[in-house]
Amino acid sequence: MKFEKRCRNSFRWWVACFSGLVCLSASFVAVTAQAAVTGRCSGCHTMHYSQDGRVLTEWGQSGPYEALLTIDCLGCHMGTNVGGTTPFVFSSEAPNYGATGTTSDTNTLAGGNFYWVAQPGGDTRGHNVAGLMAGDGALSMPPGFSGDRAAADGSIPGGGSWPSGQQVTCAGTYGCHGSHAQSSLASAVRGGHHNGLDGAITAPDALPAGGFRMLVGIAGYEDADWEYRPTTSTHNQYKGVAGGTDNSTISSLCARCHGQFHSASSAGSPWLRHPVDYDMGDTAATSDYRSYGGAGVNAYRLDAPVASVDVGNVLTNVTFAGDTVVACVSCHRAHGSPNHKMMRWDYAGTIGTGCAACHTSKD
Amino acid sequence: MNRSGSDIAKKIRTLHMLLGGLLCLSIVLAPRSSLAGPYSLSAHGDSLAGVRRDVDGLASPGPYVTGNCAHCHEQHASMGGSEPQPVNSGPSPFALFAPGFVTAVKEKPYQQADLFCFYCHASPGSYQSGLLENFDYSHVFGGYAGGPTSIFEAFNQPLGGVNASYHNLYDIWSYAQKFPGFGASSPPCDACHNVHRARRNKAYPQDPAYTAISRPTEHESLWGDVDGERMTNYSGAYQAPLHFGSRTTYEPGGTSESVADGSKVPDYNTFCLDCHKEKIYSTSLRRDVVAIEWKLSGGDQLGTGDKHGANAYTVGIQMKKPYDELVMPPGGYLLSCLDCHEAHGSPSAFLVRRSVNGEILGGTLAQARDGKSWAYLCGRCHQDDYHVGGSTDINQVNRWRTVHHGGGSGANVDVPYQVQGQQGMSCGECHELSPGPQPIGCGYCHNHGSYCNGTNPGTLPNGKVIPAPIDGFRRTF
Repeated sequence: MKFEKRCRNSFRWWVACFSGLVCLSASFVAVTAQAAVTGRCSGCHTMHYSQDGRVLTEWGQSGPYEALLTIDCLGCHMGTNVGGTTPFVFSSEAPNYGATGTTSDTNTLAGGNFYWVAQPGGDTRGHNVAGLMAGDGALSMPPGFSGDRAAADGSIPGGGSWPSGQQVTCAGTYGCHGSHAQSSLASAVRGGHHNGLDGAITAPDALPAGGFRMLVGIAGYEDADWEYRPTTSTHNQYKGVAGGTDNSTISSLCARCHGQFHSASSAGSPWLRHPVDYDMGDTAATSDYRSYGGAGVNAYRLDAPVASVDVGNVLTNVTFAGDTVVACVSCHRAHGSPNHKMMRWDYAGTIGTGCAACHTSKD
Repeated sequence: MNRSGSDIAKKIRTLHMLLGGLLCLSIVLAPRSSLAGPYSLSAHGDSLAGVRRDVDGLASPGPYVTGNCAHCHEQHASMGGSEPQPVNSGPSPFALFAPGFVTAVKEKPYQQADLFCFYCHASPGSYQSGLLENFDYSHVFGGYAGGPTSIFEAFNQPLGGVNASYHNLYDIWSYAQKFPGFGASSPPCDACHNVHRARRNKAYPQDPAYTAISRPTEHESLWGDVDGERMTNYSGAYQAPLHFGSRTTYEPGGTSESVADGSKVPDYNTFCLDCHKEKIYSTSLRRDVVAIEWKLSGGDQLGTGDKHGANAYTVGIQMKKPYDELVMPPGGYLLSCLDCHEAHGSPSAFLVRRSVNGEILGGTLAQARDGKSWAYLCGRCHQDDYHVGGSTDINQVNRWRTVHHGGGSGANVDVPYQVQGQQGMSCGECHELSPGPQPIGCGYCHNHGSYCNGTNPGTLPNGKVIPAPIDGFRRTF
């Protein structure tokens, strides 16, 4: 009896321990692997691009698709955001952006939305992505293309040269996501959807899955819902390092195609171009830049975000010590916005709006 | 009861904290509209009259509203993937659409491309949409029509005039390197103007709140826009000159007598002396421009200030309206630099205005010290022989015997050589005598910092020696 009782107690203890471990592992998985696609394989793949002898209506109709997919990028990422588990970057109806795309009534994400660039006359409002809309009527190649900036895997957009008229793609040789060494979009982001990380990505490897938003070699803190209605405590934390030589910053990603704009490497006073990968903490303590986010408050501004060296956490306030790094995305939305030059705010239609987030003495 | 009251107080405090937090959060998160601060109040940031680089055939950066930064700055040194006009082979400092200043240009004539500001502040050829005119001080504040219609023209006027003067841009740029915030790539205009704050004083000449200047030493704020930065700083010694053609209205812009006390005029003296308190080399003149001591009194001794500044006349002088009051300020009047000088350029030498104290200059003031052209300026406030004696003889106009040798009204007692021969000298010792005693060039004795004591100014080019005045020494400006 005594032994039996001991065994029962031991069994309960082990059950309790096991249950705890299960819960712990479940929560751990939820945190660290949230960006990875979950669910049944057939949700995305088809072995023969055929089901019961036909192509299903919910599949793309132009298959078969690479990687046995049922549809292309757009098939999954087109829609209206409601805070779900799939980020929609292209909407068929005008998204609600408001003034800055950051308020609680908006439904765009951190990169903005391609909707506006697809509208007539919308070339300046975003990247003209192949397959989503026609090429840019004015730009035959990325402005500022230098062709000498490589990703962590050594790949360079276009292999270093950009054919005139070539449109940018979601991924691959001429794309932003995945490896530029792969002409196949699916191959370029291989593993990214299955093994994608979430939260802090501080040491990205050279694989799509290891980078911030499948951007090879880019570090950052991924907001769990891609900045759907962000708050000062729930937002992407972009990587930025002063000097312009760190290739894990979000601006270094942009520089792969717009290298001539990435002028931090030729830093000096005065600037020849607006600096990126420049820490406002390197300005005089009395400078107007030190009033970013309000003098003495220095709150992180969702409408004009600054990047940081440490992306292990999301910042609600900045200290001007490696956490006020100007980035391309401080002013621009990577996918598109309703504003001229895909600005976060209506720069062209106002006088200095947004600029004063940093140039505070002008306001 | 106490505990209950305390709980309520705690709840109220908590509610206040929550509301305060929400307010702060709403401020941080609120969509920002256009700027409300200094830039939007400035001339360049004005939503109606501000910068707008949008001229067919010249340049247009895109669909940017008037006053937008993009009219001057190209953040990526290009627009839409290419560099719009002016194409100058690359990015420019401060992300401007052209270089700030071509330092290889040491003197006029200036070209539009020599200075960034000239791209818009030129007429014709301005990059600014619509008609942009900038007249000189004599026009805007003095009321005398005409003159250059742009700042570019003001600096270059007139190209054929040998006596025309200008504020040498290279010298400004060179000297201003000492000031904080001014650097090798700064346009020289930045020394006096903060382009993000300068206001449209031309539209509101009577209101110094619209001042366009910032002191080189205090460049982050405007100068003259608030009390304490105006000519009323001089204890009642400032009297605004007459507005052009009027006997009852005054500068700036034709104000009434009640406010002709300097309350409408920025303290230009303090402003200019940020630089001109020191000797500065002039590339245009090939010599140093003297250091100006405007704020010292001390009488006629060497080492005192100019009499047109804080120093006083010696005993008594005869002046024109409005400086002809029987009771003058203790220590006499003090002038503002811009009562006599233009800031940018002039058809006369030394940046002397086209009109002074309500009257046009009698002619072009020449650079040469000899002759009487300098008296075209003096005569706007000081009485010449024509005025002092109530003469009807036109030959007495711009004749200055009385003020130097006495005669006429006994009130004119500042004369240095009161009665001819009294000092044991004959006319010919100082004057050329053919055809009769000839005037001595004003410029030998009367200029900033001048002093006369028998050694100064000494021997003139014609060999004549200026003797010591009565009492042996005299500050003569």
